[in-house]
Amino acid sequence: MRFQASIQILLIVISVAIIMTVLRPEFSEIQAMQDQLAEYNNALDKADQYNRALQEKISQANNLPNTDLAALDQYVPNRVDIVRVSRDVVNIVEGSGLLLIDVEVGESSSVTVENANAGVSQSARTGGSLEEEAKRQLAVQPFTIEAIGTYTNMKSLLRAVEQNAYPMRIVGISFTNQSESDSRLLSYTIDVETYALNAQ
Amino acid sequence: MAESSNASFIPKNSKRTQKKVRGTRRIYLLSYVSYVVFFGTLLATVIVFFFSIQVNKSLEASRDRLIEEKNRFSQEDIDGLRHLEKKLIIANDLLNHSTAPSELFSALESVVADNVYFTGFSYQHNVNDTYTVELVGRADALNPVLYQRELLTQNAILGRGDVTSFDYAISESAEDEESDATTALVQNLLGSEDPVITFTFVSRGSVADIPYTPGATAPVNDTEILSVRPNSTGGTVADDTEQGVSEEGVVDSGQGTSTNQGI
Repeated sequence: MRFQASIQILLIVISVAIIMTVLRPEFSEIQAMQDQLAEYNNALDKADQYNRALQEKISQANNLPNTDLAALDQYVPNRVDIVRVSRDVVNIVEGSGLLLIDVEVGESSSVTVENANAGVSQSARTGGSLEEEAKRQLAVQPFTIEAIGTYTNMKSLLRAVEQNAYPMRIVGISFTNQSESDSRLLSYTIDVETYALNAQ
Repeated sequence: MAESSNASFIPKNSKRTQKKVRGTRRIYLLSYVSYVVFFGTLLATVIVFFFSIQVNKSLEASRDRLIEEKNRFSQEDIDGLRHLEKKLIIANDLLNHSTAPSELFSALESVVADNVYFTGFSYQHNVNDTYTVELVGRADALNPVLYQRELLTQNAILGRGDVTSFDYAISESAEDEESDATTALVQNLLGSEDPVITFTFVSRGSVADIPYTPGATAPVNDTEILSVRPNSTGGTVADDTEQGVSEEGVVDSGQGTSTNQGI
């Protein structure tokens, strides 16, 4: 009788020992693994969604006509080719019938599109979205055109600049008629800016 | 005697139920509990062991699938797409903020008074998509200046402006001809010499008022530009420098004469 009681107590002690040393840690481990599994599954879902969206966007990008992509590259180039832009400026000025005096290439700087003539925007520097990142990478290249011609020629020049294949924003125009003798010809100073998206 | 009293003629029922003596049944509760706990623990251990293996396998499978998903996209594709997206954003932004300052001249030409001529022009694209236009004009009296200011302020594009300064002086020819300034001044007062009033009109507006719209600005045509067309004042103004902006473009009109009576 006493022997039987000892066995029973021993069984209970063994059971408790197993619970404490094997089952409890195993349960904790399983719980941790299940949490990890849930995280992995969540990440898998997101990765799947991301991959699907990515594949969709890649196919959309691949389906864009090459002419459109070329036009976009021309409109927003990766860098401003100052020689090419200067050549275009010369062509535009001469095509408008003005006599080109000088094309001055200014110093390139980073600006936002909204504040193209106001230097770097603080808000653009602190943001993190793709749009703000794009604006941070936007570089502006100023050019100053000095030319002589008639008022009609100047208007023609402005229209040609406005219709240019890539953005050539007119940020300043000034001219005065000082001459009393030959007032048909005026001396113009026109400030324009071109833009590029710097690849970082 | 005692036997006779026991010898009853009524037979005794042999099937008479004997009163069962209820003994104490011993239930070994501790024994049951100990066995249940022990074997339960063993069973749970086995189940947990296999469950752990199962969960571990699932975890490994998920991990492999995640690595596989991760390897499916390349960083180059992502960078290329991001760059394309950024270009589209910038292009859209530039297009939405494109301006046509040439519209200012069209607006100006429509409101130039006949007896006022402009000798200076400046346009500045300011911060926050605003612009400032400064016009330097000349007239021979203040009434044309007032009339010109009225015309300009009624204009949709140049309307948000005013004459910020003006200078009243006698004409240079009078100064040249007459060495004595006092004499010139007296002559001026008497009306023999025309005064020259130089004024500055400054207008500020939003560049949204002068947006570039493709197709709106017609290609430049010399014949069209040089042609004389009626303006809002009823007079005629040519687009060319000779008449539109320069001194030679001044044409006297009835308006100028009539308003001069007020001075």
